[in-house]
Amino acid sequence: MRARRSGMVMAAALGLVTVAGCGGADGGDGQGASASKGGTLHVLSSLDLEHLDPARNYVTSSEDVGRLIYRTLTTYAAAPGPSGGKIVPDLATDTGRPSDGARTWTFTLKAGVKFEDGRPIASRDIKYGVERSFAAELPEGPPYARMWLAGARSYKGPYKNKHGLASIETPDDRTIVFKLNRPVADFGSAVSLPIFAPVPQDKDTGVRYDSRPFSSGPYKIGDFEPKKQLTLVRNTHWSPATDTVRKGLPDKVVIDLNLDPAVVDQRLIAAQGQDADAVAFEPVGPASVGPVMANPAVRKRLVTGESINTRYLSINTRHKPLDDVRVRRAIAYALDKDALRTARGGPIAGQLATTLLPPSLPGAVTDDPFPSPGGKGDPAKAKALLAQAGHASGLSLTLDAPATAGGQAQGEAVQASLDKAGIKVKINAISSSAFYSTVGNTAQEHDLVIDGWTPDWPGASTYLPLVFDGRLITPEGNNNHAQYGSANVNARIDAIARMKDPAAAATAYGSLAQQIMRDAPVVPFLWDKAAVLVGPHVTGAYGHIAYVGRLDLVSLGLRK
Amino acid sequence: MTATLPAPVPSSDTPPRIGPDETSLLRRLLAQRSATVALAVVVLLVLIALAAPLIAWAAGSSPTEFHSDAVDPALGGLPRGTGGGISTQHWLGVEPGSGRDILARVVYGARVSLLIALLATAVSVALGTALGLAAGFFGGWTDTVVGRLMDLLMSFPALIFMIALISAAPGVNRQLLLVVVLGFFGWPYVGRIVRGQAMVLARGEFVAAARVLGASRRALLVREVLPNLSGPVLVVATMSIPSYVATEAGLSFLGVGVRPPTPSWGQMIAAAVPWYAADPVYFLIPGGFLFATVLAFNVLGDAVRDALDPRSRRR
Repeated sequence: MRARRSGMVMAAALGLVTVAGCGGADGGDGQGASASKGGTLHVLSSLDLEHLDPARNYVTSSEDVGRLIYRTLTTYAAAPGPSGGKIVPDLATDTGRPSDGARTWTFTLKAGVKFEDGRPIASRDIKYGVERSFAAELPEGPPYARMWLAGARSYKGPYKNKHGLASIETPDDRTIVFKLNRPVADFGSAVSLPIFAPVPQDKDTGVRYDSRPFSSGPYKIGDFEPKKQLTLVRNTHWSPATDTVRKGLPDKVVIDLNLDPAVVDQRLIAAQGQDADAVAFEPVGPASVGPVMANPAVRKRLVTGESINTRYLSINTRHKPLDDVRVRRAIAYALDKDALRTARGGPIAGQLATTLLPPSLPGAVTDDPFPSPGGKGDPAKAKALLAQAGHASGLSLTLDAPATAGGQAQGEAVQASLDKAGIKVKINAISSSAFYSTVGNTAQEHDLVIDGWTPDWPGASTYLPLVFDGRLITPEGNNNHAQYGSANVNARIDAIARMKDPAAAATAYGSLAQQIMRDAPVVPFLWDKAAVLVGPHVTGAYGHIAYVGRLDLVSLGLRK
Repeated sequence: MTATLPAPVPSSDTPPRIGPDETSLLRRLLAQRSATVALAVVVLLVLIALAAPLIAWAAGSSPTEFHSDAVDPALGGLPRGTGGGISTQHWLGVEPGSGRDILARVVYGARVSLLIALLATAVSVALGTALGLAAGFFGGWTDTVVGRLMDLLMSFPALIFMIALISAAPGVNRQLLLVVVLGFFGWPYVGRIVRGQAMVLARGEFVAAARVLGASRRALLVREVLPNLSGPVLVVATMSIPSYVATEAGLSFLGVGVRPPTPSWGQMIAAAVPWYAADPVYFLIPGGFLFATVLAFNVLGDAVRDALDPRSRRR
């Protein structure tokens, strides 16, 4: 869900570079002996940080930064490639102990974990953090606590209901018990989300907490100028002995926000002065791929990461004539996926997607229900389908695309390829900051949307049920941009959610994805990879699967 | 701008015509070398714009067709070959990423630029002449109202207002909207000049004579005053075309101009900015066309003014 946001940035990555030998084993580029503590790490970001408040932090870029500041019950392993998708204990001693058929989950906190003022982190702080995410004032967080905790429906957050949520029990300072309304096999993965970070009640400043979250991780907020710069300084009360994930090497991390993407690329290609200690937050832009590839010294500093993100074109199935599956299939055949990928930077931006689940997800069946030569589209087949559906004279549709250079380039690629099949596409450019709130509004969404999804943890359980369950379509904040609803699919989603064996569930999701693809509510076109530039003094750089291949910030250090 | 006043008292019974005499204007223009070159460039650009489909057809391409074989995906979509992919198939190279033919896009872009600039000029000249004439000729409260309206529009932060207005009207035909908006904010500049001129003309002896002979107010306006305004109006119109070309390019650069896939120079320049290091040719071609157009129209406008008004000549 979070990586939806990444849909707006110009991702690029792997491909060629992997062949050249990066992307692989531990930290690709000189981690280890030469990495040392100290120094100031600079992060050059062309994005803004959406939210740092753990109750609202639900986009991959902000989560990557959030992991420097707060700890959660569990978290992702700090490792490149698919092993980064493994859930490991963080504040808790293990990944949770289910009982009562996975309806009750118990976690024990590690001893010696502390907040930035030195007080120990208690189980009630985590309970309070979860409770905050129910407050109407802090709406952006993930839905799982609201969906799964018993009695959550009537709970309105700690500002309205002072007595707290009874289904989270804290029998002592180090134990926390979650009572769920249904069996949830992967609840241990869900508690890696920032809403499961501790928040001390006396430090809660409501909506203002966003600019000054209280630290439980290796860094605390030194100075924060929203939309410009975030300076993180060392939290001296964080103990590396209790943390197997975060390295906490630099003394200071300075994140520059809202920079021009081309400027970030140029600065890191030149790597002069303090830029030698800098990393890019976003993948290199298409225009910089050529200069980077042409220079072997710079090319060595391109770090590649895999992701579990799928980019797709959503087709609004409630708009005529897109309610006709033949028209949607025609679009699926006509789309030139290769042109879309070139607009995003070419093969280093990822692999052409043929179906919903990327091969990096368990259970994925990578067949191609709508094949075309080289993924370049099959306008003849599309025209035939359109003629069958009674639209031989062509169609006229409107595409919602972010008003960024990358968004426009992708929009024009969609326009050009559908035009060959006789479908005229008008581009509706939406400011990138308002993009998802606009297309998530069913009244404002048009016919087609440049879209994408990253599951909240590796597996289809936070992907297919959230995007394709017709019962979850809401007038605002909708994620089912295809507005797709099928009774069969809904029934399968419920049946798979009841499965106890994760492997069987994964396989079932794989065939559910095939079933959904036959209705073509979306046309997947890219499984992202990311290629990120790092400065020559930076160590421990690798792309993390959970952050759409962005660098795992917690592992970075500086060479002396 | 008092230059086009009647110099000699008309001796014949024909109404005095001091406006541009077409043949002599052209002759005087061609006497200046810079004007000849500028005129040639303008004529060439107009021909290019008119013949855009023909040129694209001759070059074997269309402005919206993707040529994925002309770009190298492994280098982020950089055009294959040198000079931004200049080759026998693509005479001015191709756009990085999509491989669209730059020649086809530039000539279609000329169409958009010139069409919008000419229509916007027509709108502003028509509005400015009508209102300026009324204000100058009738005076009184008409003059006050029109004068204040012109002050208001000229003191307005027009560019910011244009951006806001165009972004706030999502469903409208952008080219039409650009014409209307540019013309609307441009007419006071024509109106001011016309008003001043009309004021002087209205007090002219030939107008007084016509009035004495019993001409109606309408006849005075249309037959006596209006023809004498054609000189200054021609100068203002020629001078405003380049500013509209530049403003349209600026708005397209900012993403509020014509919508893709309709090509526009401003849009092409905006798209070329991130590529300036990897593919400078992509930036230079639309930039060069824009530069040549604005310069040619400006030089031509200056020359027209000089030809009509020898006293304003800088030399």
